[in-house]
Amino acid sequence: MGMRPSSAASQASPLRFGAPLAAAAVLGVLAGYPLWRLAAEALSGGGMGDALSATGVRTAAFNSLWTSAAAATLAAAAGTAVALLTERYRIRGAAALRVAMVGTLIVPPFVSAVSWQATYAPFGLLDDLTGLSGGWIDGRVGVVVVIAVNVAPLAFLVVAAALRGSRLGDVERAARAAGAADAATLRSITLPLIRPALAAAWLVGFAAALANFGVTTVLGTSAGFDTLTTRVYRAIAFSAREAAFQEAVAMALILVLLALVVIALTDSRFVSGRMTGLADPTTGRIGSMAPAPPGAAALAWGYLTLSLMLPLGGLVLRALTRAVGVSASPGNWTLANFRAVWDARTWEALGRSAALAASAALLALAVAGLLVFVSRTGNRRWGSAAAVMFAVPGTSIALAVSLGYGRWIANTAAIILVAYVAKLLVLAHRPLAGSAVSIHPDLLRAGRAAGAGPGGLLRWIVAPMLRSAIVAGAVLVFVFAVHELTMSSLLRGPGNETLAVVVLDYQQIGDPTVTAALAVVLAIVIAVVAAPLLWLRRVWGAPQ
Amino acid sequence: MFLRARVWAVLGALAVLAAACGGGGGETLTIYTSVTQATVDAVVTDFEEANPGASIEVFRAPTGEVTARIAAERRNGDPGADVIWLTDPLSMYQYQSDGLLAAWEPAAAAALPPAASGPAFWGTRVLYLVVVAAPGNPESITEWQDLVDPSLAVAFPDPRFAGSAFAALGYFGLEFFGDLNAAGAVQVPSPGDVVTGVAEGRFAAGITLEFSARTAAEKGSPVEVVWPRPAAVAISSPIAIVDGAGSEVRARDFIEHVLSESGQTAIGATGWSPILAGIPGPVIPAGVDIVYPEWDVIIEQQEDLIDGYASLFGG
Repeated sequence: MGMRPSSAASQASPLRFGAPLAAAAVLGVLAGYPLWRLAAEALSGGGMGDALSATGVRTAAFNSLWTSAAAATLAAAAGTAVALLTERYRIRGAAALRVAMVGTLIVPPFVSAVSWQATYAPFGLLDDLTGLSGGWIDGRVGVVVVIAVNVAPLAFLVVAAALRGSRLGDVERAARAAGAADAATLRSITLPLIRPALAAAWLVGFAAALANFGVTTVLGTSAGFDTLTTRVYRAIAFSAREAAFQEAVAMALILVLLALVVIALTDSRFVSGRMTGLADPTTGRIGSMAPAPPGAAALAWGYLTLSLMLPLGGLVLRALTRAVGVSASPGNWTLANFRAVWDARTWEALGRSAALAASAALLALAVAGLLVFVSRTGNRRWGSAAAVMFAVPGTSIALAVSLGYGRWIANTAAIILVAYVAKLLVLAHRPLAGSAVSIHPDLLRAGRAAGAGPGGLLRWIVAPMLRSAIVAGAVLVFVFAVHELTMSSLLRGPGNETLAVVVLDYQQIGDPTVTAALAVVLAIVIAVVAAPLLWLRRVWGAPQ
Repeated sequence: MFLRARVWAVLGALAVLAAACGGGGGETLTIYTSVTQATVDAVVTDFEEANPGASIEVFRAPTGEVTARIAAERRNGDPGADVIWLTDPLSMYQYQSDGLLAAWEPAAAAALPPAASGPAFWGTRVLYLVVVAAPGNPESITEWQDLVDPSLAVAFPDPRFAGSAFAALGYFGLEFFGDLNAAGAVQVPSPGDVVTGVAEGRFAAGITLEFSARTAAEKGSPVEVVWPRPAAVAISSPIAIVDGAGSEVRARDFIEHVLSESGQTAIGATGWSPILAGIPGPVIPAGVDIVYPEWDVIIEQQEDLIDGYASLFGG
């Protein structure tokens, strides 16, 4: 494509008209049609009326909104604090902090919730070792805190990318040169300038929290605390009954509408701010970095110890202990739980999941690229559409996709990929959209003047500048797709097991030591797969 | 050129993946099930050994995923299953009254407990609701009623997440759960969570599945199965043929096999109680009484039970 620079002018205009059409078509396939089928189902059978009048649905909707907003706020605060520390200050071990922060993602949320409970709840690991425990873990506080911890890495990635990809450093240097103290610079220069990234971080966290099912089930059930998502799952459990199925569909639709309202408001009010003026195409790095405030690094490591290392340690100990309820001392250690999950079936399922996840990552990147391109030439609302589906629980997406396309592509990899890309698109889109603003239009004009066609511009200018975002997006989509439990377990063809199928089987058998062993194996596999990508990202993200 | 080659490579990989995940041919028997993988595998392998050349594909998922899949498929045509094999009868009663199941009777029908089957579905194994307690049963729990005790930390599975837990709500009724609530008992997501909570010492006792408590105890967890009076609650794991199934003859063969001595032995060998008497499997102590819930009555009250339960335990 890039071999015919002379045809640049003639290719530019069809692209300008064709791309929005293509974007609309792709979003229509991924979200529009399946959601339309979902809505038709909810509105035709009276499910919507039943759902709205059912006991406790309004409370559940209110719980969904406030827990998601609270978790997103906490996550954005934690993610931003760590991002400022690693990207804005001179600090020892910044790379280790980054890896630890993103490392939280290697454990899926429901496993994380079980680990928190096993570590911090009364009669948990910490209680055994030190006599300290937190009764608040089981209940709404625990739900919010654990969801926040799980989505904080997303917030971190969004804010860190914004800090790295801008010329903020020059502005801050100027402020300091003019005599502003560090705190004042942070308050009146840095934070206002990265406001769009903060809002985007909050929004992704909100959507992730709204769709969360595992944490609320594990930590909310004993307190009788439920959200719309847990109610969707309860209705699904009884979905042989027509009314229950329709209620599940209707509540999924309510979730979609809630997500739509919150995301559209946030996107239009806060995220649409432009950072183009700060773009720094030459270095992509912040200039001089101030020394970190005293105690900040200790605070960050303290947070990561409590949020990641202790629960992860608890998970590993549980996986190593021969049975639940016996002391986790070395005398009770065994590899039997690992042997139980270490079989051909697990590896085959893992391979299939990894192949699906990698395909989903590539497709999501392609679609995200299209949306970013379209946004640059016109409407900026395309991105909001991508975020809405992320807020919909996996089961509901699987149902919508099954209703929409089951007739034609049931039991194929294609139907699973439609569900994956629809749900996870935002994870590829936000990093790309965030970095795309750093490509100054003059650069593209210069490229065109030098005779490059669209392919050449993409290959020689756009792709190199977006490498970091491309890798970040790919890793995120991959990790979330490998972790997901419900979409592939509902949509896959008979006999074609994905990892979700294996995980859910062990969960159903109900031995937490074996489930822990499987989670540890999975975490190691993801770490092994993601580490080279993160390393690549470091290389690519370095000054050019 | 370089980009184009990569695009083709990706498309090629996707095509291979699509082929790998695709469905099978017409002569294949497709089973949708929520029965645990090891048990399905054992029975299917046993069947394939007895019927060389048989082609069986299994879709296994938790009950909710199986029923939601069937619901979505029915809207686009026929369900993709020839045989449905579930963990508890709740959904099966629904399918039976919806006319989704083929009327048919296996040879072993007369040997099955009458309460374990409907006219169009058949029990294959039995799950028991029992009490799980600390080793040696230090609180001397002998009856279900002993769980209603404010001085005991008691847990039970949320009946809104699974049919087996719903069986407890249906069998004991709202009054018993009201008493449990007044005594401070706590709902947890699943029967397995009850066992984990008792093993860790968070709870003194709880309502759970005998399988979960027994397998945990066998692994060394500090728990013990207590068979409470007046009776442990039995839940049959039903199997049925989908009406209009493409391979109905093969489906009948399969169910006959599940209910044969060989199929039942395979079930017993994976730790579940076979439904036919005299087959090796988990040992139930002598003198223990068993009762089957009256599902046809419970199903009529399903919504009232769930609403009444929600007003007690939230959500």
